[in-house]
Amino acid sequence: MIVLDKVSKSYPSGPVYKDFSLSIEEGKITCLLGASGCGKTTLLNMLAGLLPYQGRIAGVPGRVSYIFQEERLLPNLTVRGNVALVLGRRADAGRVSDILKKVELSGKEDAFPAELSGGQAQRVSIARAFAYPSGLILMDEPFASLDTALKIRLIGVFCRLWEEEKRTAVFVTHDAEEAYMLSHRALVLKEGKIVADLSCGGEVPRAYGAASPYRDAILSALMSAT
Amino acid sequence: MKAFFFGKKLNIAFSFLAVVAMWGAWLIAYYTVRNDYIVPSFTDTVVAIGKNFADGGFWAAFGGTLLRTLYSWAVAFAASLLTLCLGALSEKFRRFLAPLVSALRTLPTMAVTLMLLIWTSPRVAPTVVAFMMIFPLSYTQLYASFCAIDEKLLQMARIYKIGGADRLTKIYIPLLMPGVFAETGANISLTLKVMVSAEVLAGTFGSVGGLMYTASMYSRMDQMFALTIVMLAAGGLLEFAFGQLSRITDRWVLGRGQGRRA
Repeated sequence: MIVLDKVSKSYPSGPVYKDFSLSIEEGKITCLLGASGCGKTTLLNMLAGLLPYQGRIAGVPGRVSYIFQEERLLPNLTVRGNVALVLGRRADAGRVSDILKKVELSGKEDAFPAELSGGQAQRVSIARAFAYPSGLILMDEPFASLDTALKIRLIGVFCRLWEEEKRTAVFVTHDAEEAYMLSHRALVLKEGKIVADLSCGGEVPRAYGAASPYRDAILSALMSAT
Repeated sequence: MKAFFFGKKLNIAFSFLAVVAMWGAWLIAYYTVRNDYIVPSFTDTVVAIGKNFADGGFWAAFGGTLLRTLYSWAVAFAASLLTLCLGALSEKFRRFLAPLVSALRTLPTMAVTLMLLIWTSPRVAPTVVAFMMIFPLSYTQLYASFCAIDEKLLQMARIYKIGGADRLTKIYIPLLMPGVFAETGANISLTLKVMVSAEVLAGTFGSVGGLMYTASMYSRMDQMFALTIVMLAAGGLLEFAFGQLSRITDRWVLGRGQGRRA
């Protein structure tokens, strides 16, 4: 369990969180939703250890994977090189090839990022996150710049990988449909506070556009928070 | 691709036009002045170039100047790389260095050459002057390349706890190199220019500057023009060679599809 206990965070423009508390269940995908500037990415960056804060955050594993909105691949390394980089001395050609196969990038191992489409580059980013032996996967709107069809495919790719180890994941989005498809728990944030805490059991990914009370609840909470 | 080759052809055409324009200006000056002691004829200059090429002493002087130039540039580059590394490790050192670099940048070359001539020898003074000229430039360029490295990539490296050696060899060096190679040709060419100027002032024996100084003593304008043209060509060749090297390394360093355009 990851626990945030009375966490406060301020920027020069003003406070984002004040005495914020939250528990994140292990082995589940938790989604953070809310309007721009509500503190979703700030929360993710505090969990990643990228931002200083006041208060206590406990239970964050020593190794954390992060899937960014933009791929953040090194232009001088191939697809294989980018994935192997995060493994350092642990790099194993078989493991890298295997994970690239799972994200449907077989045959693209020796391609450079400039030769990939946006969707392929994001697959490399997902492969890198899963190749890294982390206990927590953070995702900051990783599907935001993709079209719907590609988004659905990539959510499928992510879920296939996630299903193998069921690592704890925290996922930021502003899209209710993405949250519905990919999360077990959805937290809607407004001005640094949780205004809705919704849960749904069952398998992920859920079917795109399917009628569901969970989806309706996320949409309704998001609409009232923005 | 088509635009790249068209751009390349345009570059060659404009370079050719620039050479023709300079040659035209020379001919106009020659026929206006009609005095070989002030503006030499094109033929006399070509003959002087030929004589130089046939003379072992010229090649020894040319080699000496070129070696000193490369040495000065290499030491300046190594020093700027070292100071950049120290600056990256300590912001205090970077702040301490900033006024020193500014001071070096505005140092009057002539005055420094004259002082160094008193303190050192005519062979050493031009090397030190060239170093002092090129070091602040090289450091500033390296620092700009360092600052241009995408902070988001460095953040990714921090999150994934990428080791120091991998960060250096797979992130910092490859991402710094294109900027470094792009400036190297021009920097060496500038070092050569400063070196020859300092050699002329110092009257360095066995150097191109020394030959220029001797030619000026005997009012041999054709020889001065010949040496100037040779050094111009040498500088141009160095810039061209490093330009080509930079294109190759761009592909190597940045991966396919990322090479610099024309």
